[in-house]
Amino acid sequence: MSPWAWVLTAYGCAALLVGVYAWRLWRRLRQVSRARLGEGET
Amino acid sequence: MRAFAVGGTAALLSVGLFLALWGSPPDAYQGEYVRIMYVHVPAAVSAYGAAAVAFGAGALYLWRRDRRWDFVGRAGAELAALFSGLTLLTGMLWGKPVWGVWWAWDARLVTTAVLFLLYVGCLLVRDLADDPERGRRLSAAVAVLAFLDVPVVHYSVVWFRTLHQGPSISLQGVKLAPEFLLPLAVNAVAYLALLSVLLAERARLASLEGER
Amino acid sequence: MKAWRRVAAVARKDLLLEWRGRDAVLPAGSFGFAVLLVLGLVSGGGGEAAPSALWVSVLLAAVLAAGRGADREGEEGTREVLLLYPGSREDLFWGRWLALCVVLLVLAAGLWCAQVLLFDAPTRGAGVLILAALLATAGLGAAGTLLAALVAHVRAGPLLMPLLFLPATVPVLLAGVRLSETAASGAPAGPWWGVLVVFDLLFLLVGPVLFELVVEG
Repeated sequence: MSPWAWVLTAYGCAALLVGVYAWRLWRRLRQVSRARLGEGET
Repeated sequence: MRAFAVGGTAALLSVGLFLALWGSPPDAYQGEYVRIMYVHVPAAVSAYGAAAVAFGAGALYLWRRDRRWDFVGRAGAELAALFSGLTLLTGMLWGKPVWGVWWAWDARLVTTAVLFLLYVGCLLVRDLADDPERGRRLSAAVAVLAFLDVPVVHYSVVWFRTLHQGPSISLQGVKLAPEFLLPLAVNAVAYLALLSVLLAERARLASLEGER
Repeated sequence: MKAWRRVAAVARKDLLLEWRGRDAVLPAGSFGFAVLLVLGLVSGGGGEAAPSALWVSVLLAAVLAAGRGADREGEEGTREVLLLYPGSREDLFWGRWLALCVVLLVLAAGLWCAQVLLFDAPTRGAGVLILAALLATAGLGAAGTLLAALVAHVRAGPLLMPLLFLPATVPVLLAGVRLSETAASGAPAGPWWGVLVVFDLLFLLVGPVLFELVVEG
């Protein structure tokens, strides 16, 4: 593998790991705040 | 405020990424591989930062029994596991081309692996406890214990390797010139900002979920 | 009742049950022996592998032995009764710790003999080995007592016990291996006594405090 492939693999892994975590966090936050809004309306 | 923090972090990360991939020269010995340092070292710093947060919040929760400390502690433990996992992964991706091996029995690698395992244990204890209140207490106790134990583990591994076989390959061998230091510093700050944002959001999620 | 008498009562209870049933020493000791056997088999059974095999087997046996006291109380429902007794929970920790230390010393002695026989290991340096075993036992006992109480109310607790115990006790493993080598070769011990002492201090200071917080409620 060329040096850049290793470098980009490392950055890709970092982006994937943190990205998936952040995305799931964001989605759950949205779900929870939606649910709370819903409770407020009813 | 929140949008400002997220936007600022994203900007810092972009600058850091630019400096890491374009702004910094290749290293004389390691060539382009040195760029992996700009993600590996900040990830390690963030992992230990998150562990410190989990320790502080855990101790405060055990002392004060305020749920808010537990929200922070949970976020800290999760992010400590995430970033130490990332440190291990990028460390391996750096080690294979530079050292020729995926894993060296370097003290920092082993310590990070121990940190990872202990915080995984911390999260499992919380989720598997027979009632939530006990889970909060137990995971806070593990977070406190893990943080105090990790330095002892680190020094014992340093001595175990170095006193017996002569110094092993170490990252310390790389002397950092200013042109490497600046991107590293920017990336470290960017990752710590990312850590803070993730900590705050994870704690907020825990508090929203905890109120129900 | 004075604190030391409560400590002695808890330790006596644990040791008496152990003496009657031998349900920690026998299973944990046999398991440790099996580990020694397997490690000896794959490593070729040379003397240089003996210290590592010995301490790995001691550590793994300690995981089982440490969990046993808490399990026994869970099975017989005596844990809650024990917590109801007046006085500090810290005494409960020290009592359990004392009993576990005795069990661990018995295990270590037995496994050491097995290792001498299986690996044809040298038996020099008894003083160093005994002191190392005592210091290691104090720390392992504290870590084991604390973690066993911690996982007692956790589903799959027996599975989490080694996950927490083994990484946390890495310093004891490393110090034990090096000190065993030192005992055999007569080389200077380096920082390893210090490592054991620091580990012991950490777990003996933090252990009782966290134990109280862990067992309540």
